[in-house]
Amino acid sequence: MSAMVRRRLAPSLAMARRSVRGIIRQPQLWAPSVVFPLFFGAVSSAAFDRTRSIPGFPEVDSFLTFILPATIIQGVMFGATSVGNEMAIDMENGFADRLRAAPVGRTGLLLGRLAGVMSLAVVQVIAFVGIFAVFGASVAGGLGAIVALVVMGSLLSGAIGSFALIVALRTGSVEAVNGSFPIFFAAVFMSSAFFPPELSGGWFETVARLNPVSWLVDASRDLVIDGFTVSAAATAVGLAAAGMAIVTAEAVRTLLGGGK
Amino acid sequence: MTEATVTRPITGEPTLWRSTGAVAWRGVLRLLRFPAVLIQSFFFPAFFLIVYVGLYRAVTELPGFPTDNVANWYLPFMLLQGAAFGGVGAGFSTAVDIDNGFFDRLMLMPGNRRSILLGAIGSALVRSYGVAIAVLLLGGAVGARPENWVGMPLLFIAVTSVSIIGSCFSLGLIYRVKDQRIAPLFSIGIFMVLFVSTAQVPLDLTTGWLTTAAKLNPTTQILELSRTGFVDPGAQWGQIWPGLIAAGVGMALLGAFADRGLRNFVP
Amino acid sequence: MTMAPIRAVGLSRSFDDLVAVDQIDLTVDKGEIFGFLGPNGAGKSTTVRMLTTLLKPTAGQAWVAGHDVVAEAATVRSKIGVALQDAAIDPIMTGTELISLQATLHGLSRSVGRERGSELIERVGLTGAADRRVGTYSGGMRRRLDLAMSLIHEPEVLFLDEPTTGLDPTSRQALWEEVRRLNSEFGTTVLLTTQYLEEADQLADRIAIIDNARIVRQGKPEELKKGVGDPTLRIDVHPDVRDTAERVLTEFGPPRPARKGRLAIGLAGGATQLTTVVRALDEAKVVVQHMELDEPSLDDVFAEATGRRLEGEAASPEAEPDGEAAARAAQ
Repeated sequence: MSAMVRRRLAPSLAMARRSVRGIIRQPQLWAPSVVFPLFFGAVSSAAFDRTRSIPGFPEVDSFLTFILPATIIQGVMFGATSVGNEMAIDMENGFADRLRAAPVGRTGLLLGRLAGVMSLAVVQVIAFVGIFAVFGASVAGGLGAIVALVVMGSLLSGAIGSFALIVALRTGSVEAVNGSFPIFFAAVFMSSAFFPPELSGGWFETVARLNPVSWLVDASRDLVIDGFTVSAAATAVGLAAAGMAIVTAEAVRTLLGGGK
Repeated sequence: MTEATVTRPITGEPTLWRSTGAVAWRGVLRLLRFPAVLIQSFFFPAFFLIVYVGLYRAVTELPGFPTDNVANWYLPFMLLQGAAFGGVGAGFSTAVDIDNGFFDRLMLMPGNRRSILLGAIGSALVRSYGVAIAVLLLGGAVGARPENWVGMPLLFIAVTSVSIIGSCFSLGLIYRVKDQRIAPLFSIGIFMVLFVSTAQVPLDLTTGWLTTAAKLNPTTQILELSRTGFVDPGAQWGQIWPGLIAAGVGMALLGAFADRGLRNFVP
Repeated sequence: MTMAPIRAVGLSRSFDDLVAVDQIDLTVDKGEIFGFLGPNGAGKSTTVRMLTTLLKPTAGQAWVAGHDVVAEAATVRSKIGVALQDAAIDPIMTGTELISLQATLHGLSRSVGRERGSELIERVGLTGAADRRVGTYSGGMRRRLDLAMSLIHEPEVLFLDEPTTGLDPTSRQALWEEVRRLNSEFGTTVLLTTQYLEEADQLADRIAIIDNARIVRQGKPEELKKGVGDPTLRIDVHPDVRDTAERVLTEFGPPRPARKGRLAIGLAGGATQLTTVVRALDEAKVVVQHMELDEPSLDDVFAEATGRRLEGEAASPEAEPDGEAAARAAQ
């Protein structure tokens, strides 16, 4: 029984190992998704720390703490697109044909790839929390909140990675995958990630409130600023899980439907 | 036809300015045929302008903020960003030329090879002005209004200097490295240098390391210069001259960096 | 006495540990078409890049049109025309735009540049395509435009780096025709690099064979061929009788490098000895499947100098030691 399970999982594990190895060996693929969010986090917290005195700004010990969820979500989203990049390169090199000819489940191979970026996300979240802590940020929710953030980050990475995979499968073009980057860029910046929307007001507040990234940020921010609550943890993890379930299902459908 | 060719002596003395004009014109021609390049330089400044004006509306409420119009505060920053991205376009297109061999053809010109550098800067300026005009119009659309007109020529100087600094930075790098893979570094460099300044809030409101870094970063002086027409108290000589010096020194240093790179280009 | 249009003495270039060009001595006379023949990576392009001031020599000296390529690089560039490998042409510009850019860069006035540009465009047969973007041109058209551009300032010396690589036979012929015409009508000195034996043979007054960074033979094609000596006899036999055939053949002349599975010798006495060879093979019970007797070609010259064939397959192992000796002797 367990031998059979092992045999069935083997291709996915191989794919995951290949994906993780690829990530480790090609830092240029993920380094920007670590460096840029950290850079923006550092600059924004030093520039906007005094805005905490504006009436209506949430009670928080530093802007750095306020912006931690933004850095996590931004980093994970940017990092996850690398899986689509990798897939598109493979397709340009004819790997997709080999994949199609593989006797094992193609879905397993796809999930294996996602497992690669999801592991990257785990490392990213832990690194971001650690680095921010060194510079004085705190996570009120403690270990429980950190675990919830790690799980949320990993699932979010699965959702965004799946989206990038869909683009790769449909177009087979690295450029198209890179071209989808501005969407995530816009999604992160037009949310509650960098500033409280109630202070922004106007059209921006409306857009930010409708943006699902804000829901994710707000739940994560509750864990970081207010402390661990089951409802906040469940909201953060649940939203990311639902996102991944929907997008990954679509990615699998695209793959089985033949893609390009 | 061939008879005429034999008898007519071709006595041409290539001049620096004509060659520069020819190289620059080629860059402009590429721009006209590939306007998508312009959109690439326009994307980030336009996006950030729209987002920042919406996102950080409340920062003007901070005591000591020099304007109550958030668009006025962020427009000059985005103009300089557009100018810088327009400038590094020179590095991108030179990287392509080196890769496909066209650069060799330019290097085979008999006259002063410096016109390759000057021509690249010239076409980068055209691109930067194009992007700046588009960003300026967008700025008007999101509510920016000049406080005084003295600031406009200063803004023009700031945009020009940042474009030249950006193009010389990217050209100096590509002349040395001669590899397209260096190109992402152009934009990363621009982002880092621009943001570690008073790009987001005035110097008095920055905290921690950024206060020191922004003071040391000459971008801050050039930004102040560009904001003269958009903030209170407006044109003040004490704020203008540091900007002019920063712009001049920046252009001189990076100009020398690019020029040296080109002179040592032939391995 | 005026200096030769191209002269190099001990010209060398290394890249870190790799010696790309090793002590080349070269003189090209006025009005000559000089062919630089060698396989890929032999050092042809590196030499051309040094002579055209795109690369600095690490040792030795060279003069083009009477000027030092390092100390007087700008003057050298004003006197040479260069068509580089792959015809690097900006695909989004039109032929006319490119040629007028080239004219300006060479200091021609606007009116002269325009006039001369259209003359050259007509000359290379691109009049109809002049206002189309170069990206739509065929390979042959690009090379012709490249040639026209390199001629805009009536250069004294013309460098053509692999001008016909990748072209179809018709385009190749047309380009050869144009180079010959230039040379005979204007007396332009031409240095062309090529990996095609036929091109060197057809076009060049003199050639240099370059292999592994060194010139291994230099001279007029006929003289070089004559230097190889007797014509080459090549035969194909069944592998079972190969050794016997080889033994019989060595009595008639020295072995030469040959394609795998084939035997070759330099037949002493030439065609007059053919019947004797056939008789001797017959007596040794060797059935000949194929036999040919060729006057020495440039390929033979190359083979004799390097122990390898430039065209076709690699040399047979048997021929190798001999070839290596020949290459050593040449150095």
